[in-house]
Amino acid sequence: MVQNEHIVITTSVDLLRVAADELVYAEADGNYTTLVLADGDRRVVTLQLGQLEKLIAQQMPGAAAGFVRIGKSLIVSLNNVRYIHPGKGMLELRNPAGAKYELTASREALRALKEMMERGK
Amino acid sequence: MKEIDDNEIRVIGSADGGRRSGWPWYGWVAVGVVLVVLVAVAATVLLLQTPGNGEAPEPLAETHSASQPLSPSVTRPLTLFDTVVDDVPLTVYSLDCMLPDCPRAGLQVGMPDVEDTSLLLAVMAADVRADNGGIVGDFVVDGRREARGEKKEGYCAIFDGVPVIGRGGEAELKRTMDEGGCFFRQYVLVSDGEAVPPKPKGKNHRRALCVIGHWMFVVASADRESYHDFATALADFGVEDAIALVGSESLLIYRADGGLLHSIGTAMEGENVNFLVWRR
Repeated sequence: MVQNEHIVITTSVDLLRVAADELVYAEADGNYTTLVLADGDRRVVTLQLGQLEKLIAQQMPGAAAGFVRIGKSLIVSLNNVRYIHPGKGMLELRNPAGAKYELTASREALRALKEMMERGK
Repeated sequence: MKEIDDNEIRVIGSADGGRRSGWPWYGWVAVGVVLVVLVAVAATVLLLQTPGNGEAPEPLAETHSASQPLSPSVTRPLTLFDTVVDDVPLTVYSLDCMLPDCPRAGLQVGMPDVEDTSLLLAVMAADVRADNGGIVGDFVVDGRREARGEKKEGYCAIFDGVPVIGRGGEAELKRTMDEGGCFFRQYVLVSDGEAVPPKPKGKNHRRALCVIGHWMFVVASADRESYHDFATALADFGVEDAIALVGSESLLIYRADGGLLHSIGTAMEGENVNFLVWRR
Protein backbone atom coordinates (compact mmCIF):
# COMPACT_ATOMS: atom_id res chain seq x y z
CA MET A 1 0.00 0.00 0.00
CA VAL A 2 1.51 3.34 -1.01
CA GLN A 3 1.15 5.87 1.76
CA ASN A 4 -0.33 9.34 1.38
CA GLU A 5 -2.45 8.50 -1.62
CA HIS A 6 -6.00 9.78 -1.47
CA ILE A 7 -9.07 10.01 -3.58
CA VAL A 8 -10.68 13.42 -3.54
CA ILE A 9 -14.35 13.66 -4.46
CA THR A 10 -15.66 17.17 -4.93
CA THR A 11 -19.04 18.67 -5.70
CA SER A 12 -20.03 22.30 -5.99
CA VAL A 13 -20.63 22.42 -2.24
CA ASP A 14 -18.28 19.98 -0.54
CA LEU A 15 -15.15 17.86 -0.72
CA LEU A 16 -14.48 14.36 0.54
CA ARG A 17 -10.91 13.11 0.92
CA VAL A 18 -10.30 9.45 1.64
CA ALA A 19 -6.91 7.80 2.12
CA ALA A 20 -6.23 4.49 0.43
CA ASP A 21 -6.03 2.60 3.68
CA GLU A 22 -9.27 4.16 4.94
CA LEU A 23 -11.52 2.73 2.25
CA VAL A 24 -12.86 -0.69 3.30
CA TYR A 25 -15.36 -1.08 0.48
CA ALA A 26 -17.72 0.81 -1.78
CA GLU A 27 -21.16 -0.28 -2.85
CA ALA A 28 -23.18 0.94 -5.80
CA ASP A 29 -26.78 2.05 -5.81
CA GLY A 30 -27.57 3.40 -9.27
CA ASN A 31 -26.23 6.93 -9.46
CA TYR A 32 -24.92 6.77 -5.91
CA THR A 33 -22.10 4.96 -4.19
CA THR A 34 -21.71 4.34 -0.48
CA LEU A 35 -18.14 4.44 0.78
CA VAL A 36 -17.57 2.47 3.98
CA LEU A 37 -14.48 3.69 5.79
CA ALA A 38 -12.15 2.11 8.30
CA ASP A 39 -13.50 4.15 11.20
CA GLY A 40 -17.03 2.93 10.47
CA ASP A 41 -18.04 6.17 8.77
CA ARG A 42 -20.33 5.74 5.76
CA ARG A 43 -20.40 8.37 3.06
CA VAL A 44 -22.86 8.49 0.20
CA VAL A 45 -21.48 10.22 -2.86
CA THR A 46 -23.16 11.12 -6.12
CA LEU A 47 -20.80 9.00 -8.18
CA GLN A 48 -21.50 5.82 -10.05
CA LEU A 49 -19.27 2.93 -9.03
CA GLY A 50 -17.49 2.98 -12.40
CA GLN A 51 -16.62 6.64 -11.86
CA LEU A 52 -15.22 5.84 -8.42
CA GLU A 53 -13.19 3.00 -9.91
CA LYS A 54 -11.74 5.45 -12.42
CA LEU A 55 -10.91 7.94 -9.64
CA ILE A 56 -9.11 5.24 -7.66
CA ALA A 57 -7.07 4.25 -10.70
CA GLN A 58 -6.18 7.89 -11.50
CA GLN A 59 -5.69 9.38 -8.07
CA MET A 60 -4.19 6.41 -6.23
CA PRO A 61 -2.07 4.69 -8.90
CA GLY A 62 0.17 3.04 -6.34
CA ALA A 63 -2.61 1.75 -4.13
CA ALA A 64 -5.19 0.95 -6.80
CA ALA A 65 -4.01 -2.65 -7.16
CA GLY A 66 -5.08 -3.16 -3.57
CA PHE A 67 -8.70 -2.77 -4.62
CA VAL A 68 -10.79 -5.11 -6.68
CA ARG A 69 -14.03 -4.43 -8.51
CA ILE A 70 -16.48 -7.28 -7.91
CA GLY A 71 -19.29 -7.30 -10.43
CA LYS A 72 -21.42 -4.22 -10.94
CA SER A 73 -21.94 -3.42 -7.28
CA LEU A 74 -18.76 -3.62 -5.22
CA ILE A 75 -15.24 -2.35 -4.88
CA VAL A 76 -13.41 -3.90 -1.93
CA SER A 77 -10.02 -3.41 -0.34
CA LEU A 78 -8.12 -6.69 -0.58
CA ASN A 79 -6.37 -5.90 2.70
CA ASN A 80 -9.70 -6.13 4.48
CA VAL A 81 -10.90 -9.42 3.05
CA ARG A 82 -11.31 -11.87 5.90
CA TYR A 83 -13.45 -14.71 4.55
CA ILE A 84 -14.76 -15.83 1.18
CA HIS A 85 -17.37 -18.54 0.69
CA PRO A 86 -18.29 -18.69 -3.00
CA GLY A 87 -20.89 -21.40 -2.45
CA LYS A 88 -22.87 -19.15 -0.14
CA GLY A 89 -22.10 -16.02 -2.14
CA MET A 90 -20.56 -14.62 1.04
CA LEU A 91 -17.72 -12.17 1.39
CA GLU A 92 -16.67 -10.99 4.83
CA LEU A 93 -14.52 -7.94 5.39
CA ARG A 94 -12.95 -6.67 8.60
CA ASN A 95 -11.80 -3.14 9.12
CA PRO A 96 -8.65 -2.43 11.17
CA ALA A 97 -10.78 -1.91 14.29
CA GLY A 98 -12.24 -5.40 13.88
CA ALA A 99 -15.71 -4.42 12.66
CA LYS A 100 -17.24 -7.06 10.43
CA TYR A 101 -19.01 -6.42 7.13
CA GLU A 102 -20.89 -9.26 5.47
CA LEU A 103 -21.40 -8.69 1.78
CA THR A 104 -22.93 -10.77 -0.96
CA ALA A 105 -21.72 -11.21 -4.51
CA SER A 106 -22.15 -13.74 -7.27
CA ARG A 107 -20.68 -17.16 -6.66
CA GLU A 108 -18.70 -16.99 -9.88
CA ALA A 109 -17.15 -13.65 -8.98
CA LEU A 110 -16.23 -14.86 -5.49
CA ARG A 111 -14.77 -18.03 -6.93
CA ALA A 112 -12.56 -15.87 -9.15
CA LEU A 113 -11.59 -13.69 -6.17
CA LYS A 114 -10.75 -16.74 -4.09
CA GLU A 115 -8.56 -18.14 -6.86
CA MET A 116 -6.83 -14.80 -7.30
CA MET A 117 -6.07 -14.51 -3.59
CA GLU A 118 -4.90 -18.13 -3.44
CA ARG A 119 -2.35 -17.23 -6.06
CA GLY A 120 -1.16 -14.49 -3.73
CA LYS A 121 -2.11 -11.56 -5.92
CA MET B 1 -13.49 1.87 -18.22
CA LYS B 2 -14.81 -1.38 -19.64
CA GLU B 3 -18.14 -2.73 -18.55
CA ILE B 4 -18.03 -5.52 -16.03
CA ASP B 5 -20.38 -8.42 -15.55
CA ASP B 6 -21.75 -9.47 -12.17
CA ASN B 7 -19.79 -12.69 -12.48
CA GLU B 8 -16.45 -10.98 -13.06
CA ILE B 9 -13.84 -9.27 -10.97
CA ARG B 10 -10.96 -7.00 -11.90
CA VAL B 11 -8.06 -5.52 -10.03
CA ILE B 12 -8.29 -1.76 -10.30
CA GLY B 13 -5.61 -0.06 -12.33
CA SER B 14 -4.03 -3.22 -13.74
CA ALA B 15 -2.80 -2.87 -17.32
CA ASP B 16 -5.00 -5.61 -18.72
CA GLY B 17 -7.91 -4.66 -16.52
CA GLY B 18 -7.09 -7.65 -14.34
CA ARG B 19 -10.36 -9.06 -15.49
CA ARG B 20 -11.23 -12.55 -14.45
CA SER B 21 -14.32 -14.51 -14.94
CA GLY B 22 -15.38 -17.14 -12.51
CA TRP B 23 -17.52 -18.67 -15.21
CA PRO B 24 -15.55 -21.23 -17.22
CA TRP B 25 -16.40 -22.22 -20.80
CA TYR B 26 -17.95 -25.47 -19.68
CA GLY B 27 -20.31 -23.46 -17.48
CA TRP B 28 -21.76 -21.80 -20.56
CA VAL B 29 -22.09 -25.19 -22.25
CA ALA B 30 -23.99 -26.48 -19.20
CA VAL B 31 -26.26 -23.42 -19.22
CA GLY B 32 -26.95 -23.98 -22.92
CA VAL B 33 -27.92 -27.60 -22.33
CA VAL B 34 -30.19 -26.65 -19.41
CA LEU B 35 -31.85 -23.92 -21.48
CA VAL B 36 -32.54 -26.31 -24.34
CA VAL B 37 -34.10 -28.81 -21.92
CA LEU B 38 -36.20 -26.08 -20.26
CA VAL B 39 -37.46 -24.78 -23.61
CA ALA B 40 -38.38 -28.31 -24.65
CA VAL B 41 -40.25 -28.96 -21.40
CA ALA B 42 -42.05 -25.61 -21.57
CA ALA B 43 -43.09 -26.22 -25.18
CA THR B 44 -44.42 -29.66 -24.27
CA VAL B 45 -46.44 -28.28 -21.35
CA LEU B 46 -47.89 -25.48 -23.48
CA LEU B 47 -48.89 -27.90 -26.23
CA LEU B 48 -50.62 -30.21 -23.78
CA GLN B 49 -52.56 -27.40 -22.08
CA THR B 50 -55.97 -26.68 -23.51
CA PRO B 51 -57.07 -23.04 -23.63
CA GLY B 52 -59.20 -21.97 -20.70
CA ASN B 53 -57.98 -24.87 -18.65
CA GLY B 54 -55.44 -22.82 -16.77
CA GLU B 55 -55.46 -22.82 -13.03
CA ALA B 56 -56.37 -19.69 -11.20
CA PRO B 57 -53.33 -17.83 -9.93
CA GLU B 58 -52.31 -18.66 -6.42
CA PRO B 59 -53.44 -16.15 -3.83
CA LEU B 60 -50.84 -13.78 -2.50
CA ALA B 61 -48.86 -14.92 0.45
CA GLU B 62 -50.69 -14.03 3.61
CA THR B 63 -48.64 -11.28 5.07
CA HIS B 64 -50.90 -8.38 5.80
CA SER B 65 -54.54 -7.66 5.32
CA ALA B 66 -54.69 -4.56 3.21
CA SER B 67 -58.37 -4.03 3.92
CA GLN B 68 -57.84 -4.11 7.64
CA PRO B 69 -58.34 -0.52 8.83
CA LEU B 70 -55.58 1.12 10.75
CA SER B 71 -56.40 1.77 14.34
CA PRO B 72 -57.17 5.45 14.57
CA SER B 73 -54.95 7.45 16.81
CA VAL B 74 -54.82 11.12 17.51
CA THR B 75 -51.92 10.96 19.90
CA ARG B 76 -49.52 8.98 17.74
CA PRO B 77 -48.09 10.98 14.84
CA LEU B 78 -46.79 8.01 12.95
CA THR B 79 -46.87 4.24 13.21
CA LEU B 80 -43.83 2.10 12.59
CA PHE B 81 -43.97 -1.63 12.24
CA ASP B 82 -41.71 -4.34 10.91
CA THR B 83 -42.76 -7.24 8.79
CA VAL B 84 -41.13 -9.88 6.62
CA VAL B 85 -42.45 -10.70 3.17
CA ASP B 86 -40.78 -13.29 0.94
CA ASP B 87 -37.83 -13.31 3.37
CA VAL B 88 -37.42 -9.56 2.84
CA PRO B 89 -37.52 -7.66 6.17
CA LEU B 90 -39.43 -4.40 5.77
CA THR B 91 -40.13 -1.40 7.98
CA VAL B 92 -43.37 0.47 7.33
CA TYR B 93 -43.68 4.18 8.18
CA SER B 94 -47.37 4.93 8.19
CA LEU B 95 -49.13 8.18 8.96
CA ASP B 96 -52.27 7.17 10.81
CA CYS B 97 -54.72 8.39 8.23
CA MET B 98 -56.45 7.61 4.98
CA LEU B 99 -56.10 9.83 1.91
CA PRO B 100 -57.13 12.54 1.37
CA ASP B 101 -57.55 13.19 5.11
CA CYS B 102 -53.88 13.09 5.94
CA PRO B 103 -51.22 15.53 7.05
CA ARG B 104 -50.15 17.76 4.18
CA ALA B 105 -47.35 16.55 1.96
CA GLY B 106 -44.92 18.75 0.11
CA LEU B 107 -41.71 18.64 -1.86
CA GLN B 108 -38.69 20.73 -1.00
CA VAL B 109 -35.14 21.22 -2.17
CA GLY B 110 -32.70 21.33 0.70
CA MET B 111 -32.62 19.74 4.11
CA PRO B 112 -35.80 19.65 6.21
CA ASP B 113 -35.88 22.02 9.16
CA VAL B 114 -35.57 19.78 12.20
CA GLU B 115 -36.69 22.68 14.42
CA ASP B 116 -40.06 22.63 12.65
CA THR B 117 -42.43 21.12 15.20
CA SER B 118 -44.99 20.30 12.50
CA LEU B 119 -42.58 17.95 10.70
CA LEU B 120 -43.79 14.33 10.79
CA LEU B 121 -41.92 12.45 8.09
CA ALA B 122 -39.28 13.37 5.51
CA VAL B 123 -37.72 11.08 2.94
CA MET B 124 -35.42 11.83 0.05
CA ALA B 125 -37.51 11.91 -3.11
CA ALA B 126 -35.88 12.34 -6.54
CA ASP B 127 -32.41 11.10 -7.42
CA VAL B 128 -29.59 13.52 -8.05
CA ARG B 129 -27.37 13.06 -11.07
CA ALA B 130 -23.86 11.79 -10.52
CA ASP B 131 -22.26 13.95 -13.19
CA ASN B 132 -23.65 17.43 -12.67
CA GLY B 133 -25.62 17.26 -9.45
CA GLY B 134 -28.90 17.98 -11.22
CA ILE B 135 -32.21 16.44 -10.24
CA VAL B 136 -33.15 13.35 -12.25
CA GLY B 137 -36.45 13.62 -14.11
CA ASP B 138 -39.31 16.11 -14.12
CA PHE B 139 -39.34 18.03 -10.87
CA VAL B 140 -41.82 20.73 -9.88
CA VAL B 141 -41.95 22.59 -6.58
CA ASP B 142 -44.96 24.83 -5.90
CA GLY B 143 -45.67 25.08 -9.61
CA ARG B 144 -42.08 25.92 -10.60
CA ARG B 145 -40.43 23.41 -12.90
CA GLU B 146 -36.89 22.78 -11.69
CA ALA B 147 -35.88 19.83 -13.90
CA ARG B 148 -37.03 17.87 -16.93
CA GLY B 149 -36.86 14.24 -17.96
CA GLU B 150 -39.19 11.31 -18.47
CA LYS B 151 -36.76 8.42 -18.32
CA LYS B 152 -38.15 7.27 -15.01
CA GLU B 153 -41.75 6.43 -15.63
CA GLY B 154 -43.02 6.59 -12.08
CA TYR B 155 -44.22 9.82 -10.60
CA CYS B 156 -45.55 11.43 -7.45
CA ALA B 157 -47.72 14.51 -7.89
CA ILE B 158 -48.98 16.60 -4.98
CA PHE B 159 -52.09 18.77 -5.20
CA ASP B 160 -53.12 20.81 -2.17
CA GLY B 161 -50.90 18.66 0.01
CA VAL B 162 -52.38 15.37 -1.19
CA PRO B 163 -49.97 13.08 -3.02
CA VAL B 164 -50.84 10.66 -5.82
CA ILE B 165 -48.48 8.18 -7.43
CA GLY B 166 -48.53 6.23 -10.67
CA ARG B 167 -46.77 5.78 -14.00
CA GLY B 168 -46.73 8.21 -16.88
CA GLY B 169 -48.16 11.32 -15.29
CA GLU B 170 -47.93 13.79 -18.18
CA ALA B 171 -51.35 15.27 -17.32
CA GLU B 172 -50.49 15.44 -13.63
CA LEU B 173 -47.18 17.15 -14.45
CA LYS B 174 -49.00 19.86 -16.39
CA ARG B 175 -51.59 20.21 -13.67
CA THR B 176 -48.98 20.70 -10.95
CA MET B 177 -47.45 23.52 -12.98
CA ASP B 178 -50.86 25.09 -13.56
CA GLU B 179 -52.05 24.76 -9.98
CA GLY B 180 -48.88 25.33 -7.98
CA GLY B 181 -48.43 21.67 -7.05
CA CYS B 182 -45.36 19.48 -6.77
CA PHE B 183 -44.07 16.61 -8.92
CA PHE B 184 -41.08 14.28 -9.06
CA ARG B 185 -40.13 11.16 -10.95
CA GLN B 186 -38.78 7.84 -9.75
CA TYR B 187 -38.72 4.21 -10.80
CA VAL B 188 -41.99 2.32 -10.81
CA LEU B 189 -41.78 -0.66 -8.45
CA VAL B 190 -45.37 -1.90 -8.38
CA SER B 191 -48.17 -1.08 -10.79
CA ASP B 192 -51.73 -2.36 -10.38
CA GLY B 193 -50.50 -4.96 -7.91
CA GLU B 194 -47.78 -6.32 -10.18
CA ALA B 195 -44.09 -6.00 -9.39
CA VAL B 196 -42.23 -3.96 -12.02
CA PRO B 197 -38.58 -4.17 -10.96
CA PRO B 198 -36.40 -1.45 -12.50
CA LYS B 199 -33.30 -2.37 -14.49
CA PRO B 200 -30.46 -1.29 -12.16
CA LYS B 201 -28.80 -4.32 -10.59
CA GLY B 202 -27.09 -4.73 -7.29
CA LYS B 203 -28.29 -4.77 -3.73
CA ASN B 204 -28.80 -1.85 -1.44
CA HIS B 205 -31.19 -0.50 1.14
CA ARG B 206 -34.40 0.29 -0.73
CA ARG B 207 -37.26 2.65 -0.01
CA ALA B 208 -40.63 3.09 -1.63
CA LEU B 209 -43.75 5.22 -1.50
CA CYS B 210 -46.66 2.81 -1.57
CA VAL B 211 -50.42 2.86 -1.88
CA ILE B 212 -53.05 0.34 -0.88
CA GLY B 213 -56.47 1.82 -1.50
CA HIS B 214 -56.50 5.12 0.40
CA TRP B 215 -53.56 4.15 2.58
CA MET B 216 -50.24 5.75 1.61
CA PHE B 217 -47.07 4.81 3.42
CA VAL B 218 -43.31 4.59 3.12
CA VAL B 219 -41.54 1.23 3.20
CA ALA B 220 -37.83 0.70 3.80
CA SER B 221 -35.94 -2.54 3.46
CA ALA B 222 -34.00 -3.49 6.57
CA ASP B 223 -31.33 -5.27 4.55
CA ARG B 224 -29.71 -4.67 1.22
CA GLU B 225 -32.07 -5.97 -1.44
CA SER B 226 -32.18 -6.11 -5.20
CA TYR B 227 -34.93 -4.08 -6.84
CA HIS B 228 -36.43 -7.36 -7.98
CA ASP B 229 -36.74 -8.83 -4.49
CA PHE B 230 -37.92 -5.52 -3.00
CA ALA B 231 -40.59 -4.90 -5.65
CA THR B 232 -41.78 -8.50 -5.43
CA ALA B 233 -42.06 -8.26 -1.64
CA LEU B 234 -44.09 -5.06 -1.92
CA ALA B 235 -46.46 -6.65 -4.42
CA ASP B 236 -46.84 -9.72 -2.20
CA PHE B 237 -47.46 -7.42 0.77
CA GLY B 238 -50.54 -6.28 -1.11
CA VAL B 239 -49.23 -2.95 -2.40
CA GLU B 240 -51.22 -1.76 -5.41
CA ASP B 241 -48.85 0.95 -6.62
CA ALA B 242 -45.36 1.90 -5.50
CA ILE B 243 -42.55 4.10 -6.72
CA ALA B 244 -38.98 4.07 -5.50
CA LEU B 245 -37.55 6.71 -3.21
CA VAL B 246 -33.86 7.43 -2.74
CA GLY B 247 -32.46 4.47 -0.84
CA SER B 248 -28.97 3.48 0.22
CA GLU B 249 -27.90 5.36 3.36
CA SER B 250 -29.92 8.45 2.50
CA LEU B 251 -31.58 10.46 5.24
CA LEU B 252 -35.05 9.63 6.55
CA ILE B 253 -36.53 11.66 9.41
CA TYR B 254 -39.64 10.70 11.36
CA ARG B 255 -41.41 11.87 14.48
CA ALA B 256 -41.89 9.02 16.93
CA ASP B 257 -44.07 8.54 19.95
CA GLY B 258 -43.35 11.26 22.45
CA GLY B 259 -42.82 13.79 19.72
CA LEU B 260 -39.09 13.34 19.27
CA LEU B 261 -37.60 13.39 15.80
CA HIS B 262 -35.52 10.40 14.81
CA SER B 263 -33.29 10.10 11.79
CA ILE B 264 -31.97 7.17 9.81
CA GLY B 265 -29.12 7.38 7.33
CA THR B 266 -26.85 10.25 6.60
CA ALA B 267 -27.42 13.66 5.13
CA MET B 268 -26.31 13.80 1.53
CA GLU B 269 -24.62 17.04 0.56
CA GLY B 270 -25.55 18.88 -2.60
CA GLU B 271 -27.65 21.83 -3.57
CA ASN B 272 -30.34 19.68 -5.19
CA VAL B 273 -30.88 17.14 -2.43
CA ASN B 274 -34.65 17.05 -2.13
CA PHE B 275 -37.25 15.66 0.25
CA LEU B 276 -40.85 14.55 0.28
CA VAL B 277 -42.11 15.96 3.57
CA TRP B 278 -45.29 15.49 5.55
CA ARG B 279 -46.29 18.08 8.13
CA ARG B 280 -49.19 18.05 10.51
